[in-house]
Formats: sequence, structure tokens, C-alpha cells
Amino acid sequence: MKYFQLISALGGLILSAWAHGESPDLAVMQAELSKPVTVINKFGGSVTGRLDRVSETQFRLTTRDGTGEVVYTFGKGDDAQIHFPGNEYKLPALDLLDDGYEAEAISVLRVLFAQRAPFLDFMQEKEAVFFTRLADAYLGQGNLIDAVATARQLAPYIKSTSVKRKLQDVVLMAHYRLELPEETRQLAGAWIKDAPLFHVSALGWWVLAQLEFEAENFEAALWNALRPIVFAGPMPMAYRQHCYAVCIASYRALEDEESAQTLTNEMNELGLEWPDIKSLHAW
Amino acid sequence: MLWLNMVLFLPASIGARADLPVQDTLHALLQRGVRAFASGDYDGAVNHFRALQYTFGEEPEYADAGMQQLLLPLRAYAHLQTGLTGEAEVDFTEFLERFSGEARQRAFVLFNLGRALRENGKLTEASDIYGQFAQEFPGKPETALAVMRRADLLLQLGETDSGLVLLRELYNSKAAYLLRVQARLRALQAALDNDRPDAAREILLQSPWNLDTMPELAALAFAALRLGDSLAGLEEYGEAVRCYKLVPPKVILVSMQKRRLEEIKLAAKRHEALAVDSSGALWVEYYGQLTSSIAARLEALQAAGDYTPGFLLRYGQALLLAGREREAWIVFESLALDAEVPALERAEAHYRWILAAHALEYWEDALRIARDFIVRYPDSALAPQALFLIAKAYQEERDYPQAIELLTELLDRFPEHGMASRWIFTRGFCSLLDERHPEARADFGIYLDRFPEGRLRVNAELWHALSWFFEKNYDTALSELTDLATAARNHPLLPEIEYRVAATHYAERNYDKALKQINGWLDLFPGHERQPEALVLKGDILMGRGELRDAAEVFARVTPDAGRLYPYAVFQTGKIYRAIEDYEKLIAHFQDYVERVDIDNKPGVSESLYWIGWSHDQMGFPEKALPVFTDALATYGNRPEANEIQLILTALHQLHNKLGRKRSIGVSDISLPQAPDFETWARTERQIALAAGELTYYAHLTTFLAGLQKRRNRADEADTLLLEMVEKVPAAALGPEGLGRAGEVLEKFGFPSAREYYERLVDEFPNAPQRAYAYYGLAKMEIAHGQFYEARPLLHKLTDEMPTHPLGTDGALLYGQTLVALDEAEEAVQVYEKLLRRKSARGRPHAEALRGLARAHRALEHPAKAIAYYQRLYTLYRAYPDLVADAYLQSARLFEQTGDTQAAYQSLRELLDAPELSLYEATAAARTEIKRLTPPSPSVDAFPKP
Repeated sequence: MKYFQLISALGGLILSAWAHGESPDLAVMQAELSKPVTVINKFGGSVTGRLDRVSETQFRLTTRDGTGEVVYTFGKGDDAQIHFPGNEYKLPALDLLDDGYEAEAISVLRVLFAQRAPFLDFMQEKEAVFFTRLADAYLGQGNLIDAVATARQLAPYIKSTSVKRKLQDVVLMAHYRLELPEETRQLAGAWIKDAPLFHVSALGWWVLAQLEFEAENFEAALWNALRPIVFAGPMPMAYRQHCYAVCIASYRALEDEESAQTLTNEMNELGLEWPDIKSLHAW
Repeated sequence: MLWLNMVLFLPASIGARADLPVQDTLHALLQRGVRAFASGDYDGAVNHFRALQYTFGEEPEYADAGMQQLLLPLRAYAHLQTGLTGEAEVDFTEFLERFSGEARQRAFVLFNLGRALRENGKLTEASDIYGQFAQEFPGKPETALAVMRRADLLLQLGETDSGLVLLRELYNSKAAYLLRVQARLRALQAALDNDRPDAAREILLQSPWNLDTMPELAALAFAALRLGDSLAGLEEYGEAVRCYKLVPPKVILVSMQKRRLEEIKLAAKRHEALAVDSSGALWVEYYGQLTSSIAARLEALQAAGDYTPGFLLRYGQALLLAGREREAWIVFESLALDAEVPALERAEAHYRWILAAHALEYWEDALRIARDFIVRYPDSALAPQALFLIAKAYQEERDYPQAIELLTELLDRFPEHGMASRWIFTRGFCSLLDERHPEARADFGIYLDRFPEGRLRVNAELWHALSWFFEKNYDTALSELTDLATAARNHPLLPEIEYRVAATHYAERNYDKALKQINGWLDLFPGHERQPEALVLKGDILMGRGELRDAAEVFARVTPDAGRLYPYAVFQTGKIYRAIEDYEKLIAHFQDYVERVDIDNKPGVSESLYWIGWSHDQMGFPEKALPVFTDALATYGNRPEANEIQLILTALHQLHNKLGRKRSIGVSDISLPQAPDFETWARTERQIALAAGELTYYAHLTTFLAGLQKRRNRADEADTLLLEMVEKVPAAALGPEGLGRAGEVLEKFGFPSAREYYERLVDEFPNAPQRAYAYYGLAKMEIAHGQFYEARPLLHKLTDEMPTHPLGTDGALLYGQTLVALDEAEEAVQVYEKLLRRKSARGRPHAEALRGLARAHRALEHPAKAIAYYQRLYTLYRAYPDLVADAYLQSARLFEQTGDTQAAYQSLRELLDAPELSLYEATAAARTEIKRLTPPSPSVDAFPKP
């Protein structure tokens, strides 16, 4: 029912199928997105036409009137704002994501990203921030290569530390799931180097610990996974339960049942669930 | 807006006349007062209400009950808000005396009377009023607020139990979340303030705190910190850790608390906007108080210094003492390496980091961290303790010389340090462990002289006495132990001392005294932790007396919970049954041991099986022995710790010879009827093991076959087999025999990796007799590099711990040679003489011992004695011409040194005249040396008689 509102908000452009999480009509969307782009210069004047990227520092807008073509070139310093058609698709796409329709959301976001990615140099940071959700969605769908590619494409346009770290998370997690242990190890190392002592996420530590655990280096796994546990403090921390699980499993592998039990009790007290990691199932 | 609700109390006429021009009529003044009140201008309201009373106080309209019922609560509240709490109390009280009031109005009056009374210091009355409120209005949301106020007052009045009960009821009730969580926090603080850690612990830890919405984060953090400290003080470290885990670092706490304060302010604003009735005022007041309390705490928190480093130190310490050493390490390491942490805390953390490494027994790391501490903080008050920890790490690493050196440095640098007594004692102990008994005694002596009242006095005396014991000077040991036992009647070490007295009698083979002493000990100290050892000693004493069956009975009293003593008792009993040739009992005894399921990591099972099979064979039933051996091979053949596999293979070999080819071995597809001989079977079995990846079994078979080749004087073939084994089997899969043999063959061919095998052998199998290979091999490797000092303890261990091992003889010879090289020739003399007394060393070893004695005496500048030993050698041991030739040459040189050139000449002449000695280097040297000597003049007797 919720999507009826969205449908009306989009003026009927998005088919009612969206309401059921089915694929939107991409042909309709493509047609909408291929409409001319409007550029507003810093004095408020606007021009509408076809957009081309010239270089990292310049783009070009070509308009056609009765007499022929007029080409406008804009540089980074011109502070021109690009208004792409299709903004109305952005919010519903995020709603689809929030409601768990990742595949459908991806199909929309992918088209939007293709339309705008070449021009991120000339757009505000928030545009790049918006597409971090696409990288996340790719990861969620197991589309790991696209997740890495999108995250890496967006990273240069992001200034916010927290958003940068989210992209770093996507790249690291995708590498781990791609089973590229050496690259993952390097990325986890970089992640840890950038992370503050008291952090909201334990991803890098867990990934490193998990790799060590899978290589049966239980002692090394312990040292890595214990660190975020020690410094977690009372606030929630992402991947904390993963770290507990690796530690408990490692202690058991090292036949230190007492320490395993201490951490199990602590994990229960914190209400943390045992994570669904194949190599940890047996422990 | 807030006080529009109060207008509801006004007669409708007043509200209707609000737009009239202002005049000083009763109604106008009243209206102005109400307006001021409604706009929160309580001072103005008070003034208007006063003017009203002053001007119209005598008017019937003013005195009218309806007017007073309206006016009194407003005026009272205005008084309250302007700090005129006495007047407020009077007005509220008068209202309650005169009017029962409409419910909302009465609730308002009661609640605020409570507040007025509280602010007037009438705590009991205030508490009663809040109680009355709760009773009269049980379902109202403000009731929870009244209960909390009452609980606060009860706590202030010292009625802690009642206060805590109320708060507990409140936070377990269905009241608003904010009030519940606040009640829980108040209860926690009250429990802490009233020194009730158990109650505080229950309140803090019984269920999680929802920190995402918890308003007073800082208050909670500090309460958790206080309780953590308190529990750590009570040595409840695990619980302290649980508390500390609720404390964020300052930077996080400030940011979280700021965010939460903004959220509370927003919530307060929402309440203010919604405060359309009298109860709204209570909530506004509540939020106001909560906000200012949080803001004040936040301000104080920001202004105060950073508590984080100090907190983390305590957190780390609690982790360490709770047995969570790795986590403690992580905390201390991060503090120690954080340049932003104040230097004092950083040094403290670094020091505790060493302690964490110590607790984990990661000695190499402990050394590294401690050394780094000394470099960073050479002048720290903790530096001596850090150096001591380094010495302890060396001690644990068995690097006693380094430990001793460091302790000596400590004692030189800080002779008056409070820990000096401990350092002296530890240095003595390290010397003892390094078998430097005189040095150990010297330190224990210093300790006893300098610290006659020291805590370790009796320990020092005991170890002093035991140093004599370790030197086998039992008389002196006994004398000191006996004196000590008399002097230390009430000391906790008395049982230990008395036990050692018995052990010394036993070592002296004075079995009667030993038995009497140990019987006395068992009567005196029943249930003492040394009891299993005492029983084992008694069993050994009885064995020494030849009372074997009694000994077996005593050993049977040693139970599996005695740890390693239990298998010792089991195998001693086995020896007894073997000695009395009671094979049936031997079989039953070991069968019982093998089948026991109540012992973890049961050692010697393969040995037990060997003895079972051996007993069957001894009883004339080799066919019964066969399956026992083959089962043992199948079960234990691939286990590195199964040290009896060589014995079992040898036994099978003998059985094969005995049974001929009539029976099948049945271990693998190859069976004896098809196999031409046992060796062929073993070789085939070896290949099968290799193919199956059973590398330990493969190694066992290889060492067995190599031994066979060696006995057949096919050393090259034996070496080839062993080198193959080294190539194919990782060291971790080798048992003691495999490691020893691998080390031996690698050392023979000059591979330095031999050391790795030897060291693994000693580390992994410290009690295996094969460690003799390691002691001997490592000593040879050290000597090859001129490291006699390093070789010395290895050879001492070999000769002392395993004199009857096949390598014991060679080890003794090398030990003597080492001692001479270290200028300890007197001790070398004892070693050689001991060897000469050993019958099993007859032949060449005895000849070499004589040569050793001669060399030792030469070093001691006793040339006559040296010559005598050389003479004895070349007279008695002609079967060893290399030694004989050398003895002649050396004795000649000694004669020459002492000026007896004639004797020197004669010695060389004899050497040169013996044709069987002509090919040796010594003989070649003699040919040169004799030229410078003058032949002796022929004596009269030398001329032929006519």
C-alpha cells in the first residue's frame, strides 16, 4: 500500500508493479532519463541541451535552435549546477532499498548512476553520497565486483570521513567474500590503520581475525578479534558479535574452555547473536 | 501557554472580562496576577496577588471560598517558583485544610506541597505528602514522579532500605521509560553511596541498559566506574570488568552526552508545548531539573581532566587479574604506545604490559617489552622492578646465566632497594637451577645474613640444604634439614622439610631411617598436598628394602588425581611384578591401566601394552603376545608420543624369530608367511605407511630399520635411511627416538638444523630417555664452536640424569674434557674416576678415562700423577694403539718438563720400537722429538755380563 503514494508522487511514471517489488519499466525510465539536461550557471541563467564530458575539468552542453547548434563549455570553477532528468526516481529507489527490494532498487540506481557518474566531478558531494547506497546494495545482493567498482568510482568524490569509511567497508567486505585473502588482508590492514581506537565498527579487525581463523592461526585470530571487544565500551559496535564468535571459536580450538565460556557469557549478556559464518558453525 | 490551564480554575466571568480596560478593581488585579502567572512571570504574579490581598483582603468577595479555592494554589505556586517556599507551604496547606478540591487541582497542590516542604527542609513531611499523593492518585503518570521524589527523600533521611525498595518497584514498574531508567540510576547511586556493592552490582548488571536512549550517560558511566573500582578492591575482578565495560572513554562520553542532552531538551520542549493541564507543569519541572542536572554534569565532565588513561589502567588491571591476560595486554599496549597519554600513566601501562606478558608466559615478549621499558624509562621508579621481571623472564626461559647477570646488575645498582632481598633469593635460586650450587649457597647465605627476619628465610635455608642434596652431599644436606625441621616447627614449609629429610635418607640408601621418617610424615600430615609424593617415596623405600609386595600395596594407594605420580606408581608396580615374575598380575595390572577411562592424556599406554605382550611371551604364550603387539602398533604406531614403538618392533622381531613363519603378523597386508623375513616386512610396512601419510609410523619403522643396519655395521645404510626420514617427515611428526636419530645424523653430516631437532626433543619430550641424544649432540655442537661453558650444563644433565644411557659413557668423557677446558680439572678428575668405577664402561672408555685423568692432572700441574695415568694406559690398554701411542708421547713430554730427560727418551724409544704403533701421529711426533734428547748412558747393569 505504501507505494501507492510513491506512484502518485511520480506522476504515474513508475508502474504500480513497484509496489510489489517487481522490476520497474526501465524502458520508460530510460526514455525519461534521456531527455535534455539543464545547466544553471552561477548567475542563475539556465540552458538545456545534451551533455558531454570533455575532461576532468570541463564539460560541454550542446543546444539546438532553429539556426543550428550552440556549444557551451563549463569548467569546474564556473560553479554551474547540472540538473539531470529523473531525480524523481531517487527517493522511491531508496524506499525500495529500505523495504528490502534490493534487486529492484539496483536496476533503478544503476541507470541513474550510468547517467550521472561521468559528471560527478562537476556535481555536489551529496550526489556521490547518494550512490553509496548502490555500492551497498550490490554488496547485499552478492554482486561483489560491481560493489567494489562502484565504491572505488565514488571514493574520490567523498569528503565525509564516515561516508568514506562506509565505502571502505564495502570494498573490504566484497574482497573478503570474493575469497581473495591476500588483498583482503591488505585492505583490512589499511582499514585498521585508519580506524580510531574506539570505533563504531569492528569490520577490519574481524575480517583479519576471520582470515587467521580460517588459516587455523588461532592465536593470531584471537589477538585481532579481541581488540575491538576490549575497546567496544558500552555503545553498539558493528561486527562485534563476529569478533566474539571468532574469539570463542579460537579459544575452543586452543582448548581454553574457560576463556571461551567467559566470552560466551559476555556475548549473551550483550544480547549478541552468533553470526551466520560457515567456518564458525561448528564452534 | 503553560499556565492557561490555571485559568480553567477561574470563574467563567473573569475569563470573560479579560478584555476590559485595566482598572484596580479586584477582578482587574486578579486578572493581572493570573496573566503574569500564565506567562511565567511569577514575581509579577506574587506582587499582584499581594496587592489583591492588601487592597481587597477584607472584601467578602475576596474571602469567598470559591475565590480562595482558585487563588490559593496559584499564589502558592507563584511563591514556590519565586523561592518563597515558606509562604508556598502555608498556602498549599491552607488549601488542603479548607478544600478537598477537584482531582487535578488536589493532585497539583499535593505534589507541590511536597516540593515546598522538601525545600523548607521538612523532609519527613515532604516524604509523607508524596506518599499520600501516590496513594490518592495511583494511576497518574506523575505518581511515578512522586514515588521517585519520596524515594530521594527517604534516602536523604537515611532510610536507605525503604528508599531502595521504592526505586526498585519503580524501575520494575510500567512507568514511563525515562523515569524507570532514572529510578534505576538513582538506586544504583544510592547503593554505592551507602556502601552496598552487592545491591549496586545487582542493579547495574542484572539487565542491559538501553544506552541508545539513556539520558544520564555520564552519571551511569561514573556509577559503573565507582562500582568497578569497588569490586576490584574486593578482588572480584571479573565483575569489575563487567562494570568497566559500561564506561566509555571521555571523548566518546562527552559527545554522546551532548547529543543526548539535545534530545532531552527537544523532549522537554515537546512537553512544554503539550502542557495544557496542571500535570504538565510537573513534567516541565521534571524535565527542567533533568536537563540542568545533565548540563551541569556535562559541564563538569568537560572541565575536568581526562579520566580515560586512569580508567583504562584500572580496566586493564582488572582484566589481568580476572585471568583475561590477552585483553589486559591489548589495553596496556595501546596506552603504553599512545604518545598522547600522560607520561606517568604511559610508563605504568608499559610496566603492566610486561606483567601481562608474564602472566601469559610469553617470555620472549616479556623480555622484549621489559627491555623497551628500560630504554624508555631508565629513571622510572618501576625500572628496577622491570629489570627484575626481565630476570624472571630469563629464568623462565631457562637462561639462568642471563638472569643471574641481570640480578647482579640490579643488586649493584640498587643495593638498598626494598626488593633487594627478593633479588638475592632469586639469584640464588637461578644459580641452583643452573646447577651452580656453591654460588646458590652463597646467595642464600647472604640472604640469611642480611635479612634474618626476611619472609623467605626458611625457604632460603631449605634451598641451601637442598643444594647439598643436589650435589649428593647427603650428610650435610641431612644435617641442615634436620636443624631446619627443628627450627621451623610452625612454618608452612615444615611438611616439605620433613619430606626432604625422608628423601635424603632414601638417597643415602638408609632405608630404615627413610621408612621411619616417611611413616611419621604420613601420620603427621594426612591430606597434605605432598601426600602422593610421600606415598611414592614410601613405595620406593620399600622397594629399596626388598619388600616388594608391600611396596606394590603402597603404590596402589596413589590415585589418578595425583597427576604424573600416578603413572609413575603404576609403572613402579609393573617393575615389582616383573621382579617377582608374577606375569599374570603384571598383565592384569597393565590391562587395568590401559582400560581406565578416568585419566586424561594417559601416558605410557603403548609401554603398558608392550609389557602385557612381553608377559605373555615370558609365560610361554608368544601367540598371545602377538596380537597385543600388533594392536599396539596399529593403535599407537602413528603417534609421536608413543615411545615404546621401538621396543614393540624389537619384540615383534624376536617373536617372529621364535614363531618362525607359522604365524601371521597381521599388521598389514604383508604377513610373515609371505615375507621372507622380518626386515622385509618392516620395509614393506614402511612404504605402506609413507603412502598412507602415516609419517610418524613411517619414522618409527625407519629408526628401527636404521638400528638394525647399525648393528650389522652398515652405518652408511643406516644414515641413508635416517636422512630419507628427515626429508619426508616434518619434525612435528617425530617422536623422541625419531628426533634424536634425526639430530644425530644431521649433526654427523654437519647440518646446523640438527639443533632444531635436538631442541624440539628436549622441549616436547623432557622426560624421554632419548633426550640424551639432544644433550650429547647439542654439547658436541657447542664444543665444536669452542663454547665449553654452554656445553657444560648439557653434559652434566646427561651424566647426572642418565648415567646408564648408552650415551652416558661418551657423555662422561666429553664432560671431563669440557671441565678441563673450563679450568675445572678437579671436578673432571671426579667424573673420570666415576667412569672408571663403571663396569659397563670397560675397554676403550676406561682407556680414554685414564687419558682424561692424565690430562686433568697435567692441568692441575700434577705431572707425576699424570705420567702415572699415561703409564697405566699404555701398560694395560695395548688394544687401543692410538691411545697408547699418544700416552707414550705425552708421558715423554711430561718427563722432559720435569727434567727427567732420560725417562723421556726411554718413553719415546719404547713408542718407536713398537711396530704396531708406527702409523700414528704421536709416533711421527716422537721421531722428531727424540732427536733433541740425549740417549741415556748405558748403566752398568745394561752391559752384558761376561
